[in-house]
Amino acid sequence: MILSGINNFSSKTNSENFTLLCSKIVLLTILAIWILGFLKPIILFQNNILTDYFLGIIYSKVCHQVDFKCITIEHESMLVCARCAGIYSGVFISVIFMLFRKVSKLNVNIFIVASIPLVADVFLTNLNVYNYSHPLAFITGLVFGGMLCLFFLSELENLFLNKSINRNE
Amino acid sequence: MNKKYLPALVSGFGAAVLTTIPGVDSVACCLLVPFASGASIYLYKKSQTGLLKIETKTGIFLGFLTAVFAAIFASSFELIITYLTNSSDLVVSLPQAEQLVRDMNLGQDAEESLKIMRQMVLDIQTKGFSLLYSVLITLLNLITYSIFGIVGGMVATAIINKRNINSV
Repeated sequence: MILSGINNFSSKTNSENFTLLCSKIVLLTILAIWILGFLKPIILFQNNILTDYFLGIIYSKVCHQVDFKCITIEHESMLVCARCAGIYSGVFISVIFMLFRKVSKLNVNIFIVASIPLVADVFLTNLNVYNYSHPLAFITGLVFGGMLCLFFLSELENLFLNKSINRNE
Repeated sequence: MNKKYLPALVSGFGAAVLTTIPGVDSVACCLLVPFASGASIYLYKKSQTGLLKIETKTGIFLGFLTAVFAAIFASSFELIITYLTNSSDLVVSLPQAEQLVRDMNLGQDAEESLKIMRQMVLDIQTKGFSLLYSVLITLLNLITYSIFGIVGGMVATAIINKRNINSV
């Protein structure tokens, strides 16, 4: 009886793990589409005015899109600024790294440490201490986005884990 | 009022007020709404004495609710500003859209869409209000804010719970 209980529990846990993996894959797909969207002017040199117009409207909802802050390659600019591009890339990389792993221990201090460079860069560039730098904005965004995503994933895992525990109770 | 709704209402309203500042509206959903969701969860935690851990479901719900309130208030503010100024983003972007349709030669369907847009612009410029524009703005805000509200709610729940665990 105890053995069947354990088997039942492990099969339910496996099913929750599978659901968690599926949700991570869905998240990764959505992120990939989102990133390809703002990279569109750079990776597809063909100009399609209609898609450019609508993509511009969509991404204007999430980024200020100031020209000199956007990464430009061969006269074509991304649809979001370097910092936002870094944040989304950080989230994407984080999800790939954690696809088959679980977020173990997270400390709020890590989050604070990860956000300090980004906040400092924003303040220092706005105070004209130094000029806006694309690589710096991208890297600070990347670190912040990656850490932010770990907290998101840990909560996603909690959601599925709690479901599993509640069902077993 | 239910203790769950009040923090969401307060934070959502605060975020909506901030969206009226020119320049801030472009980062409304990626920055303001997640922060508002976090503030709402923090206020909820403060209002529930003895609550050690916030459930993820509660975090998602509070984030979503904050985003909904923010979307409703932000849309209302935008409509009031449109009514007072007889102008909006749509009025500014119409010539661009017309140029686009001319350049692309998109055919009859695009012309029909332009006709609807022109009617909306005419309504805004003459009466200061267009029903279709109001519905579109509210729907767009509801969808985009909700996504970022839920994400913000989840991250904030994780951070607040981790902080509690560390302090215990």
